[in-house]
Amino acid sequence: MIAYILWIAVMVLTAPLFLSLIKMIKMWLLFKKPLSPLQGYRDFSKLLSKEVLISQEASAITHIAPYMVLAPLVVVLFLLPPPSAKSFFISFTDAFTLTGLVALSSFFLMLLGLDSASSFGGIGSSREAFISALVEPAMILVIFALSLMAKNLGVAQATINLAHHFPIEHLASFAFAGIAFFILLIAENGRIPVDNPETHLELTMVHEAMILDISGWYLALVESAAAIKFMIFASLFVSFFMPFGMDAPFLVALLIFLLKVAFVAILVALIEVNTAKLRLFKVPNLLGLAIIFAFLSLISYYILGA
Amino acid sequence: MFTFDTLSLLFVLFLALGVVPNIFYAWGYMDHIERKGHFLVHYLSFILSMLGVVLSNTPLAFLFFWEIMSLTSWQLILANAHEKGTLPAARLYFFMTHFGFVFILLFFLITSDGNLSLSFSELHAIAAHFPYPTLLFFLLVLGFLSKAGVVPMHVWLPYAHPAAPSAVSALMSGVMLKIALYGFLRMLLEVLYPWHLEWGVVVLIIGAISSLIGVLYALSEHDMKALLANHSIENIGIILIAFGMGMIFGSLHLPLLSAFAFIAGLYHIFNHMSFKSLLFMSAGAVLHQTHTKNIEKYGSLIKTMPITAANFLFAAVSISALPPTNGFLSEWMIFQSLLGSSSISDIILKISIPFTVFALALTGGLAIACFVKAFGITFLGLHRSHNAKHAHEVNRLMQIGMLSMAAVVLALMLFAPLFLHLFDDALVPFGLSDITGRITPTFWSIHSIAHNGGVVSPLFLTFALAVVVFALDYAAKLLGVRSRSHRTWACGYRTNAKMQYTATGFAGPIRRFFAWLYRPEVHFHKKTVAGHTTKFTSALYDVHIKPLFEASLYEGTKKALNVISYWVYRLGHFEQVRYGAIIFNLMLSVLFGYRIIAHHFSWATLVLEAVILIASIKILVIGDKE
Amino acid sequence: MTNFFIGMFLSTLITAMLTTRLYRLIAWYAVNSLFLALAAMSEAVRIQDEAMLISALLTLVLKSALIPYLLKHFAVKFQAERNITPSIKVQYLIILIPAILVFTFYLIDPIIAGAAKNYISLAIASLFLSLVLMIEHRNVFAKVIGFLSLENALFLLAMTATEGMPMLIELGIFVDLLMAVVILNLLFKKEASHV
Repeated sequence: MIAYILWIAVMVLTAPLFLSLIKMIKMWLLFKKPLSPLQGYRDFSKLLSKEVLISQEASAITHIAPYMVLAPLVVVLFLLPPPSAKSFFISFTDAFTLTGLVALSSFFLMLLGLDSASSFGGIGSSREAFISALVEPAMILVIFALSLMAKNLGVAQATINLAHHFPIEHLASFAFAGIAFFILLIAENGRIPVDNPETHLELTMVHEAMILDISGWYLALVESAAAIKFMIFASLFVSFFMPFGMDAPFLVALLIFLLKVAFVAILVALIEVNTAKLRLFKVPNLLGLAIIFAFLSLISYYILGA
Repeated sequence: MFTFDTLSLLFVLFLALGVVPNIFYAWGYMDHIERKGHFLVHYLSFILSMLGVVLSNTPLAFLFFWEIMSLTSWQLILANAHEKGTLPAARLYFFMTHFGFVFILLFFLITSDGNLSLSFSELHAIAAHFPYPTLLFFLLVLGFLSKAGVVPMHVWLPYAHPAAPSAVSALMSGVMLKIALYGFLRMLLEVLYPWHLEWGVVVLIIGAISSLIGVLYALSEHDMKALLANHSIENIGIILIAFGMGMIFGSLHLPLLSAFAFIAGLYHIFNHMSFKSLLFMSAGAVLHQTHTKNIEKYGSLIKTMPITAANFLFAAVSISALPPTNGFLSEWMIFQSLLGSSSISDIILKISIPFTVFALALTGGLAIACFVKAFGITFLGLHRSHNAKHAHEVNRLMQIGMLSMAAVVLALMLFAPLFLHLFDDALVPFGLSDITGRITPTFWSIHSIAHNGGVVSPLFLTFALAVVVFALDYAAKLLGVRSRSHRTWACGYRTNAKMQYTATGFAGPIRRFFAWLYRPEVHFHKKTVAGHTTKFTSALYDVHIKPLFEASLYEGTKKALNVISYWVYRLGHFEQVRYGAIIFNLMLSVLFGYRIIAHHFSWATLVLEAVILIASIKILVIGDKE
Repeated sequence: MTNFFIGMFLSTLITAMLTTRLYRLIAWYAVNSLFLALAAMSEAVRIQDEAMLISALLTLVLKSALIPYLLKHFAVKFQAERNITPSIKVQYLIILIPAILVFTFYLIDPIIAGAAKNYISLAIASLFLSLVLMIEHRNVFAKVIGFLSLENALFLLAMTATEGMPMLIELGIFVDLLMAVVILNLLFKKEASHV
């Protein structure tokens, strides 16, 4: 139980670190002077000390939505698969609940975008609605395939099954699910090539456009929601697709877990450096690839595994 | 004549939950209605006739109440007869509802051998001797599902429901459609069993298509009530997915999974009744205040109508299937029963069911987009018209109606396990398994019936969300967050209502992605200044969506021959690109032909393969019109 | 391991179908052939068939290195249009590709019984997919790639269905392929001189 609480605390505390890490690697690869990995914490504390500037046109939704953006994601953190097979975990929740909670968070984020009567917010919400509508089917199909391979619908239990008995005979469908899930990780977290988190250009922004009109404490909430969302997806990715090192003692397992997440962060950074952002109407091609791979994963599980 | 068995009593409860809040609401809505006597007579007899349908036990009584239900609802649509579009809508509704009635009548005439006063339980023996049970099944589909509004028999629904007064729209969309499903379910369970495997597949396919088409049309709709009506098509589709899975599992002798799927379907029936009624009521409240159904004329209503807005938001979260609401719970159950398909031994069926999962998941994603649009454009931002500016909260009675319906939604969410108990108890006398012990072992959680399935707990999720929100709020208090308010930054201009995103703009990307379905007609007029292409004084952008099924199935039949001859002409004049496509289709048809002629003939595969062949010819050989 | 390679073969084929750039398409074709060669090798090792091993090696050398190189060379030489947008939209492909996979299985099911059924269905599915690849492009190079993938799919079919065709036939096919590429070169030369 203590291990469980420690693990949650570590995840919350290190969440901004990994986003800064991505930024740092990118700057380093582009021959810029890299920022400190602690930049995320500095931004957070700066936002805490600022006052909240609220738009006159905004309604009660602006006061509710930041909480509702963060809260489901925090709940998801408690339900994630554990880093170590021996520690306590909540075994019963399945992946539909997790995706539902993530969708609840983005539902309120989209409302937040529409609340301030600015056209930027509308742009962001509209694009986010489009992208997340296409992400949903791929997500559910990947989960379907994974839960079949892991022989359990509970997320945490499934990863432990995978760690103990890796389905080597389904390697192909496992790889497809991995590819599809990685595309989803990129799309859900708004990284290049789906969204560029660093610019504020109306042609490209999705996530940033929705949160232009909030500030201070509310912005801190939404920014930490973004960091936690990355943490959630990265940790789901590593526990499904890199299920090793879970039998080590707890602290060692936690360290391995963090290293794996850092590996995902490096991977994302490398992709960001090497690809251009897609036009909005090219994004469906990428997500379509994810959907097809998710289908392929299921079909090859049934056909090749049968 | 009448029966009080478990299923009937369950639907009496359903009616009670759906109707009682509606009566309060209708009472408050009365000042909006001109012919009050006419309205009251038909409104009350509409409710009583639904009660009659649910309780009747003989074909004669059933048909009698069914017809009364159709006629009274038709008259209720005509309550605002002077409004534009009401008369054609009512006429279309009248025709479609009697189109269905004919098939129901035929079904009963065949299964009762002409003696319409037999009880339902006696019909089974006659139906079992009828040599073509599939014909009976299709009579059921045409009869009941045309009333329930599934694709492609849904064309009347987006016209008829919005034309009625809002209280009646809520009743029709929330309650009456489910009465049609009740009839379908009852005939399946009591008269027409055992089911063939193909029937389940047909219901599943109809459900999947309806859910997708419904939500896509809802998304592109500007008329608030038509949007909600299109959403009813989607939800009926979702319910039919559950019933289809139940029938497939039933015919494959997997009783536990079958019972689970039927329970999920019944649960979604209740849920849809609750949140759709609530949505129609709050949309009606908005309409009552702003006197327009056009979503582009709303905006900023959350400030003047907070209670309506809160109700709409709650129902929107629920209908978008977001946890921890009841809409999520029933969709979760349906997903679980789709996952149960991995225990089917027929591998082809098994690898086809992911397509339904895909359809259902895409529906969920699009529903979120749709309700962000509906809530965001209606209630947030700045008011887009004078009517919206002068709106104020509706009267107390309508508020009571909405709040009590919200209470029903909340009850269905928090006490879901108890309701599941009820549904299972209602289904057990009809030969389905008793699985309450498996799926609701405690009062706070729902378990999946599938092997190693998941668990969901509405109470736990609600509690967890509430704890986190309060902890964060407390943190904000501790930090002493100060706030100041200022105008939204609009790049140096004054923020005004015209700068906001419109509903049309919001749905733009999705409309563009699904352009093959919508076939939007875009009208773009602008007055340019002195011949400049980029400088203009005024611009009008107007998009119209053609309802595909109406245009293709209903009006298009007469054009079919013409079009076919055009295609033949085009194929005759070979284009190089089409050679490969023609070879592809030839190969496909050879393989299909082998399967049908030499291997094993069945009508279902024939239809299925014909549909696939036509689709592949359409996509590959003919392609889009340039 | 054959499972995994056949899976990757399919996935590279599908990725090739969704690409919009010519050089990338050629690269995907090379990877596709590479996985085919690997699958053939692992199958050859399993059933201890030296002839199949040789054709696998030939595939590796010819199809995953030489032919892509030649095609790239020609494409550069004749300045082929590099932007090749598929004429079938992605929203169709999302459903079309899985549907092809499922329905080939559905079609093969009654015809063939036996252990190799699953592989054969995947091979025929890739046959259909390469046909779609040919259909969806107007560019000649892309069509040639489609043709070559068709040949890959046939190789896969032969390998899985009959545990390898006779060596002679396979060699013949390889020569045919090279001839096709040479003819393509000649055609282009003629066209270039024409213009």
